[in-house]
This record gives sequence, C-alpha cells and structure tokens, in this order.
Amino acid sequence: MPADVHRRFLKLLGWDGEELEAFLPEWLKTAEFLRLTEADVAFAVDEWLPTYWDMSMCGTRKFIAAVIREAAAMARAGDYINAGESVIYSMMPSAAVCVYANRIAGEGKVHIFYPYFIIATVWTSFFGRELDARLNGSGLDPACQHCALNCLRADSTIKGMIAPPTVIWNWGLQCDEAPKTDEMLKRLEEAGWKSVLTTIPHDAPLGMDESEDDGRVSYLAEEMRVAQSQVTGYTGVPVLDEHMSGAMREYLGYLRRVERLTDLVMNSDPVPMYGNDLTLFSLCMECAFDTGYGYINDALDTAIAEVEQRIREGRGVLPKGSPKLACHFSPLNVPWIDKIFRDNGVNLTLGRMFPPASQLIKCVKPGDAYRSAASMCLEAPNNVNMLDEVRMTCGQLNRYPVDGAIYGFFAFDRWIGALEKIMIREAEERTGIPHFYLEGDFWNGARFSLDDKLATIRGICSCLKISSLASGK
Amino acid sequence: MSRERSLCGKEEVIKAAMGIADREGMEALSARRIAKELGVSSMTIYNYVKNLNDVKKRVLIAGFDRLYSGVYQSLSALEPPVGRRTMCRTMALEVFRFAQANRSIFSFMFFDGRNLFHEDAEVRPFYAFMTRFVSRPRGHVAGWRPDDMPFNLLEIIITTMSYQCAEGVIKLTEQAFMDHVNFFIERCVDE
Repeated sequence: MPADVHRRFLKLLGWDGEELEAFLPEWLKTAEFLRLTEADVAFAVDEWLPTYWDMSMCGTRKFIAAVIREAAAMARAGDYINAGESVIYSMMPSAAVCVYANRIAGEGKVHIFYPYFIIATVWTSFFGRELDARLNGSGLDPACQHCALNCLRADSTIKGMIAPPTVIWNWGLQCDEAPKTDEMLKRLEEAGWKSVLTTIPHDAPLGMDESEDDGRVSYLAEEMRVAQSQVTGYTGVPVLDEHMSGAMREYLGYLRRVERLTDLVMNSDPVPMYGNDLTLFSLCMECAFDTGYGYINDALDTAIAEVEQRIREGRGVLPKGSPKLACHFSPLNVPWIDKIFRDNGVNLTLGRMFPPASQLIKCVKPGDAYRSAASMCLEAPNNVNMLDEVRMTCGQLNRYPVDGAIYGFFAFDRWIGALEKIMIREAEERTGIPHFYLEGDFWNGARFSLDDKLATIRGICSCLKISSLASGK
Repeated sequence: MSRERSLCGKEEVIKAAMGIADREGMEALSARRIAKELGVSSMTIYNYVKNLNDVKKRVLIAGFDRLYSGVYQSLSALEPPVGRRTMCRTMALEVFRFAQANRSIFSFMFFDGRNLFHEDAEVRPFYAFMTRFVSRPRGHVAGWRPDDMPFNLLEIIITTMSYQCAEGVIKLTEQAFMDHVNFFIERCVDE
C-alpha cells in the first residue's frame, strides 16, 4: 500500500493512531510539494534518520516532527492566498522577532514562512537529498559557489514549485546574495513577486562591538521599521508595539530553552547528545515558524528532560573523557560529518556557536522594540564584522570546556566564507584552543564527498585524542 | 572509438597518488603518472581534482592521518597517566619510524609540502604537533606561550633527524636517535 511507508515515517516521528491518520493526507500533499518520492521516504525511515539522528530521543523526534509540520503548513501557502489571507516569505538569516510579530498581529490571517531554508533543511537533514541534484534551470551554476539557498530560491520560483506570496521580506544583514537573487529574479525571470529588503552596510570598523554602537543599532532599527511599514502595505495588517513585545517574549522563551539544553550538553562528560541533534534545536535562532513555538518548545522541554536523565545515569554518546569539538557551521545539513567525528571518538558540539539567551536578553531594553530587535540582531555572530564575531565566538569557546573548534563549510558564503580563515587564526590566538578547518558547503554535500574529507577528519580526531591523553583526560 | 573509463571519485585519484608516492616518491607524482596508474587520460584526472597541488595537499593530509593515527595508537597503549616526557619520547619514536617507512611522503609533509601548504587552513593545524598536543594545557594563550620553546625545538630535532636519516644523509639506529631525543628531553622538558 503506497501510504504505508508514509505511515511508517510519521510513526517514527511520534504520530500515532487517529492523529496519524488525520495528518496523513496533509503529509502526502507535503511530500508531493517537497518532490519526495516513496523511495525517498523509505530511505529516510530505514536508513538516513536512524543512521544520523538519535531517534531514541523523543525530543529529537518531536523537533523533526515540528519541522515537518512547518513544511506542511508551507505547502498550504497557495490555499492561504486563495482564501484571501496574507503570506510573508522570509530569508535566512533574519530577525525572527520582526517576522514573527506579523504572525501575531495577523491573528491567523497572516502566515510567515522561510520556504528555501525549510526545504533545504528537510531535504538535506532528514532525507539525504543533495540540493545540486534537485537544482537545475536556475541559471546559477553550482560550480560558482552560489549559496544553495539562493539557487533553490531561483529554481523553485522558475519552476513554480512555491506559491507566490503576498510579499517576500528579504534580508541582507550579512550576505548580499539574497538581495542579488531577488533582483535577478525580478529582472530576468519576471517573477512579479513583491519584495521588501532590510539590509545594513558592511562598513563597521573591524572590532567594533556593533550591538553596543548606538548609531548602528539605530540604523538597523529604522531599516526594520521602514521594512515593516512596507510589509504592512502589502498585508494590510499593522504591527504594533504589543505585537513586537509578544514576539520578543515567545522568542526569548525559546532561546532560554536552547541555552538550558546547550549548558546541560556542553557541561556534561560524557556528552549526552549527538552534535546534529543539539544543532537541530537551535534551528529557529534566525527564523520563525508559522506553526508557532508550541511544538518546538515542547520538543525542547522533552529533550531537556531526557538529557537530564542521561546525565543522572552517566550515559553519553561516547565514553567519558572523549574530546569535544565546537562546530562553527551547521552540521545537521551534512549529518554524516557529525557521525564520522563520533565514529572516530570525538563529540561534535555547539553547532553555529550562537550567543546564549542570557547574552541576547541584555539587548532587550524597555521602549522601542525595534531597537531591541536590532541590538539582538547585532549580537548574532554572523551578522557583524569579523573581529566582533571573533569576540562572540571566543565568548562561547571560553564559556564551555571544549578541546578544539572546527570551522569551514561556508565556501559558498560571500561574507563568512571570505573572512573565516583569518577569523580562525584570531580566535585561536585569543583562546589558545586548537582550531581546525574543513573546505566545503554545508548547504550542499554534493560538492564534496565523505571519502574526500575522511583523512582530514581522522587526522583532526587523532590530534584531539592525543591532546586528551596529554592533558590526562 | 574507445570509451574513457570513469572513476568512482576523487578518492580513487588520491589513493592512486598515495600508492605512487609510497613506491616511487613524491617526485614521480604527475597527472600523467596518476592517469597511467588508473588507466585513464590525464584530462580525466582533472574532472576529479582541481590541479596537481590539490592532489599533493590530499596526499599530505593522508600522511598526517597515518602519522597521528600511529602516534595515538602507541600513546593509548601506555599505562595512564602518561607524563609529558613519556609522551615526547613516544611521539619522537613514532615520527622516526614513520619517516623510515614513508620516506618520500614524510619529506614532503615536513619540508617541500610544508613550504607549499603550511598556511592552508585545512593543513596548518597539523603542524607544530609538539606544542599543540603536549605543551599547552587548555586555557588562555598567556598560560602556555612561555612553555612552547623547548617543544618547538624538540619538534625541529625530531623531524630534521628523522628526515636526514630517512634520506641517508646521516646514519642512525633507532636507539641512537632516541639517545639524542632523551638527551634533550631530560634537560629541557619538565615531567
């Protein structure tokens, strides 16, 4: 029966009984929307998910299910438009609070989606499908190291895969490729989509603490405010201070949970959770879900309880004393990377090195919510100048007991990719922690192979294990 | 019309290159020689690698993988806790043995290849192994820097003597090599 494999997929992620049967038709539509065949789903259920994710953790299964629910909601975007509701698409990285405030203000009549991010994450993380294999016709040659998210955006627009939204809120906080893709689509492909852009010039002096600089915060806050008024022009739904405050409260509730989970995992020996899984829970640091924070917070609460239980029992994914390697990129999009490190006796941890909630909460000041949102945005390491990012990265590396840090996989990125190799040397100099690097593109594993990286990863693991012996661990 | 054989991937090219380097030396490594080994045309090789330096870099990294894997195996066989001097001795002996068994690759890793790639972000962390692995307890940079000098010197002694011995410039038994290493360790490295 064709639906059997889909039932097994949903069951694996925690759906059961009537709830499963009720969601099944929606999932079948979503799978079709995502261009997932039965073979793709069977591969995910039987091989990919059990190999690269800790499916024994209920919290992990719930979070993956939350992403699938978000994909299902996104697949209904066309229906929302046809019903006269508004749909806002947004790009990563963004100020999640600003985008989410529209959902609150809309009271069910405004929907927010990050379609390219969600599709890319679902394909690469949960189904083992490389983006290069799916992308063609966009005119953006993968060999030119374009951001795979933008290739996906161009390709999906041209092919009509994604329903045109009411407006697309395009962010160019750090990388200018998203706005460039937007322009290309408008001029060359006549996509006819309405778009609003929030950007900030890359003119901060190296080393400036951007979130503390009044001029910079004011500028970005004003950019956000203007962009919001333009978005409102398309949706007809004004976003008031109370909506921004509500969005901030929900976002901070999520951040606190992520910080709690990260603290638990990072301060434990043995490490109680896979690197992929830990990174998965921070997926919404720079985006928001139309399905809200309910499902993801429930998944986080479950994971926190499970991790606490594992700590009490002294259970870890590797033996006590195994080295911890902090990861600067997002390993979940190339989940075999985490597994190779684990197979070679090293825990990959701390994906993306986002600042902890307690750091971001300091940015929230009474009064202008846009200033708080702008300040938080400028406290995210990949939105600021290279030396400011070094400061934040070092803060994370010094906060937790790690044995090394791994960078790379940003070869596609015009901002981080260009400066990362210099940044590594600076961070290593400041912390004394060994820093390693892997060439690659975490959005697109097809651009390199496991075999190609194996010797490098094994070499790194040997280095870390030798260091551990030297330090008497 | 003959049809060109396709390769499984970059790894097949690197494995062939490693084999050539092991048997004939790094100086024999060329696109033509790798192509001959694999039974394909030289141009086919470039479908999998950017250029010959790309191959050489992968050979160098594979060499470090072999070396450090051996070092770790030897160290983990020792009864813990392993003191600094014992670590230094064990690493020195492993490096010496690796150099004798992998003459050409070792020379490339620590001399010609080092000049080419030591600033490469993927390769750089594999150098300065004594300071990176043994000297520096975890913590702030200021805590370990004054202690680096003997470890830097020891690494130079180990790699240079191993290289000279592997290349036949000097003749040393393993014991004679270790006598030199011990002489330095006992005077300059705290336990």
